[in-house]
Amino acid sequence: MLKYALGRLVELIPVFFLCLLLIFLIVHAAPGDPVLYLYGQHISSGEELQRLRAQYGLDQPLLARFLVYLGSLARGDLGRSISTGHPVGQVIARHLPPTLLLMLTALVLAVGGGVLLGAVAARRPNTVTDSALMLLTLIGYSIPTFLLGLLLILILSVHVPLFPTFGMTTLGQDYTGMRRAIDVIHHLTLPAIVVAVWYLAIYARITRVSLIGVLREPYVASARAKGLSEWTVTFHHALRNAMLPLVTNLGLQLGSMVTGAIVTETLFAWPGIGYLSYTALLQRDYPMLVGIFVISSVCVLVANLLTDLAYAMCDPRIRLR
Amino acid sequence: MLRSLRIAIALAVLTLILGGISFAQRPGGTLTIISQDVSVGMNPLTETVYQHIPRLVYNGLVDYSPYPEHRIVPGLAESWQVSSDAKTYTFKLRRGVKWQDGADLTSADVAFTYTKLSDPKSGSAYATLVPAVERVDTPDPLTAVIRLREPGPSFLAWTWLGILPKHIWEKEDLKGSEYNRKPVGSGPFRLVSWAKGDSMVFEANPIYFKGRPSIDRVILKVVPDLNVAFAALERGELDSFVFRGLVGGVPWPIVERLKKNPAFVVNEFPVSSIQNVHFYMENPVLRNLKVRQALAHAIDRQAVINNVLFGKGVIINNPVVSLTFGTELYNPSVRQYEHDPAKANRLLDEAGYPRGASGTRFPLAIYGTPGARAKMNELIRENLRAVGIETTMENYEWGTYDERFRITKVLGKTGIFSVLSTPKVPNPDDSLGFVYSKNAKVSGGRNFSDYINPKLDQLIEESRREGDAAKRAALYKQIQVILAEDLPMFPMYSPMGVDIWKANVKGLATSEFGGSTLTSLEGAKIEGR
Amino acid sequence: MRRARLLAVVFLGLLLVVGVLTPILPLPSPRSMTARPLQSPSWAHLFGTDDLGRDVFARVVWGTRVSLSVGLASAAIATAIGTILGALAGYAGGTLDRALMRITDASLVLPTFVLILIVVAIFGASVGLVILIIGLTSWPQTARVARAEFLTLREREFVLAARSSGSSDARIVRVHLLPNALPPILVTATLRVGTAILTEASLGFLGASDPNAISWGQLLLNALQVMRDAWWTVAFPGLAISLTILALNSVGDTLAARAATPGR
Repeated sequence: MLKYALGRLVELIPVFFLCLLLIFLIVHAAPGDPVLYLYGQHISSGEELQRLRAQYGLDQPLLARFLVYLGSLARGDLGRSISTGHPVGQVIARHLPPTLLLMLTALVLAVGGGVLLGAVAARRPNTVTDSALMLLTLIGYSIPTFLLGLLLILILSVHVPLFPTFGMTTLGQDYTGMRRAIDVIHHLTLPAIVVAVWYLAIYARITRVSLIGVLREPYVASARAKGLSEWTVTFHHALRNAMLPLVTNLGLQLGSMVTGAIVTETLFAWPGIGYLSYTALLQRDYPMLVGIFVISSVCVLVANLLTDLAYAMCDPRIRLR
Repeated sequence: MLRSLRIAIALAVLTLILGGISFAQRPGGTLTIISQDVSVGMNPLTETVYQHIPRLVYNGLVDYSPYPEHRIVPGLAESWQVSSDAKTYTFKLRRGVKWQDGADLTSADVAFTYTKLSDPKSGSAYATLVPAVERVDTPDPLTAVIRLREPGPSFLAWTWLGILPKHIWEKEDLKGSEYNRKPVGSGPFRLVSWAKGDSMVFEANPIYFKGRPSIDRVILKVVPDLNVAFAALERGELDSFVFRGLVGGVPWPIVERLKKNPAFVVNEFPVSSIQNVHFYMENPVLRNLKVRQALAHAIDRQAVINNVLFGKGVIINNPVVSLTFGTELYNPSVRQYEHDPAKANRLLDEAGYPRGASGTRFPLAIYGTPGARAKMNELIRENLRAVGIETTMENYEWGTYDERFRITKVLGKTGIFSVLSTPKVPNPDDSLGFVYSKNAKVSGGRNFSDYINPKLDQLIEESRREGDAAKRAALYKQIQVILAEDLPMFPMYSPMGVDIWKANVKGLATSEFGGSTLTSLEGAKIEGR
Repeated sequence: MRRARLLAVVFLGLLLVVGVLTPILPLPSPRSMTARPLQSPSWAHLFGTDDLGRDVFARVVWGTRVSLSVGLASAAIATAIGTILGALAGYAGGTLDRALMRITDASLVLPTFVLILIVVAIFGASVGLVILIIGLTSWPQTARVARAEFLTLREREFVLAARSSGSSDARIVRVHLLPNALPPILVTATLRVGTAILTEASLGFLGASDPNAISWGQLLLNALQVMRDAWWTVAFPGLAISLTILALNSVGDTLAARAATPGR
């Protein structure tokens, strides 16, 4: 198992470098000096230039500068924000937990809801229920996230003030403990639903297709013959095997999840890295944007690795390949 | 029976007394105020945009009374005298004022502050704005005699700027000192915590010379998006909004709703700011006076006010003297530029820019920032299209925009840009810097159009020295005539501003200058908590 | 269901026609601000007017042009590049294949939206740039599909037969493999159009799209301030985007079902 994990890691590292190389090249194609984009430093005078030359290898060939950049990344130095002067790494670290909270909640909602809907549809294939659910899921992954967010805000926050419109906590109050947890959950509801819908729709479809296939398998028939209830058959026996494509897809989607939150977080002013990206864009805070790019890539890589490991645990055939 | 009755009565009386005491001594509460920016600085000598916020921690020699009088009233100084040549200002300080660290505030602090203020090498942002101080004499600890280098009748208007404690700042650097983050002032509140980009927390200063403020804590909460901020206000999550230092447009639809809500006090008031569209004088097309005049006639200012500002603004016809300064300064009979596309077309033809085959005369860029300015630019764009000018729009965030029109000065070379000028004192002295040649052609200079007119410079310098109010007013009026003829920038409108606070906050008063509405925080109280 | 699919195709066709013919259609100007702002829908203004007094119907129609051009052009770029590279990798195999797999893996890890934001922040937003960057970041998906197809197809009997009869590789790819690989490629191409339109709309909503072009996302951004009292400023652009993506996904679904049927 460990060998497999290490193997995957070794495969993923060049992938990461490719991403870094890409952003490095883009920044060098930009007008202005790359030191500004990567580290947040202006080159304003002669002696400044000398110091920066030494620090970032400015008169070296591109490859050397790339290595310097990799070195600073390895040290955890992502440069300084142009707008506030704070170290980029620190700012991102502060904003990562809210995004993770939002994503994980949305994921749970999406997987739970999707599997449920998919299972219901799979057990009644080609009926009215099935068609209705298929239409619902089609709409689910066709509607743009920000539109869905706007509509939910209009309906559930403005006309019927059930939920807050924005933010993670009630501004102007410093709750602690249980009250804070409830406050956060209250604020989390709408954005999590908005993010979850798209994935829910897709997972419902995957589950449905996969489950329909599995339900035809002989061992399912035998389970039924044993007298087990439909729900036990579906959920205990069939679903476990039907879940594999779902897990695969989950891994693939994780990449889009981290940055797919940008629009939702901006709409709800949810203080995660998506909102940070938006403000960084507005302020043309390039080191912040590049830093977010790097950190997101790392997150996705890690998530992919974990998914692969989970998959390998479920299906021994993968490990032994 | 009688005994229990007596006990009951005693208990009741006791409860009433205790209740009464506790009601009278109930803690003053916390007030949250919407703030927009991360970059506010707490040094009164270096902060220029949000200069009202240091007023919570520092005091100036004088203060401004609330809108609409905006009279100069005693602050740290209980009285003052101005010499007839307006070169010597003698201030008598109040007795018993203490710094927040317990030290006494004396004239030595005043001398120190004004010497630093006038020294451009110190990093003071006001060295070129405020009439230069030659020296400050301190005959006794409560008297400060400020001697200016030249006659400066407007000097008094600037003395609301905060006084710094000499014993703390003597060896400090104005810009880099850690006392910018942990300020020690004489003011009604102390800064106790500052989470940059998130909030600033102030607590009442128990040894404040006017008495401890009733409000215990003031929290400035940063909410960059005004729509979000006002939604929070509407839901009661935040307590107040102070207009001073606003970036972007006021969400008027929300304000209109709040006006109908008895839980809020909404003060709408005309603001001294002027939105000017700048014409860069080195731009080959804009250099032509007829082109500038045509552009002025092409733009429909009333439509901008109606559609972009939701009607909350007035057209203004000069770029430096606000309507709020009073009719004695504002010249209503300068050359007018009414919305007249036909005239604009004619002028452009006369200027030598006929319509080409496709109907366009020349291309022009319009630069802006997202929000109300971008909307205004869209309208201007349509106006210009109607007279044959094809425009491209580019929007930058405020910091980049500011850098490009003020520091690197690249925007004007290819297009037009607008700047909302906000006077810091209730007279045009401050704004005249926009058309003064010494501020032109320098990076960071306030003459964004790089407009140079020696005759105007002369008038400006005279007005700065002229002590007689009537004569000075006449000079201002002449200046306005010249600016209307030359049109280095086109004045669009003066917006309305709004202060909002919850109805249970009493004692706040809207003010535009000095410490703005925050000045009255020291005397405000939150009721019925 | 079949009627629904037909409806989707007709809708898309209509959209295409409208998008192409927009400049000559008898529409009010999408930019002129002469009407009273925030009027509800009426005969004079089918979709009402926005906060600057512009006709929402005209703006939605002009937005179609931008959305469709971005969608189709970037999907075309992505499909072209993806098919060629995927075909090469799938057919040739070996190091080329492994290199391509690395790159497509990288693209799945890449936070593409952040990358697009960075490019827009640095180089400014223009329709052309947006088309290019979306196209360049979405070809890997197509490449994967193409590769998978070519990989399976190259082992089929008719290919072996063609090879043994002396046909060149190029001819085999062109005549035998490509037509058979097309259906899944078309499916993913349809989905590319949808995601491109969504990405462009998201950019518009964040204010990161070309300010000189009218985009559906921008329309929704403008509607934010006034949506409480002017539902039409949100409803119609919203419907436009949703129905377009819905139709595209529906068509994509159909194509996918057809492509999956055995006995091709």
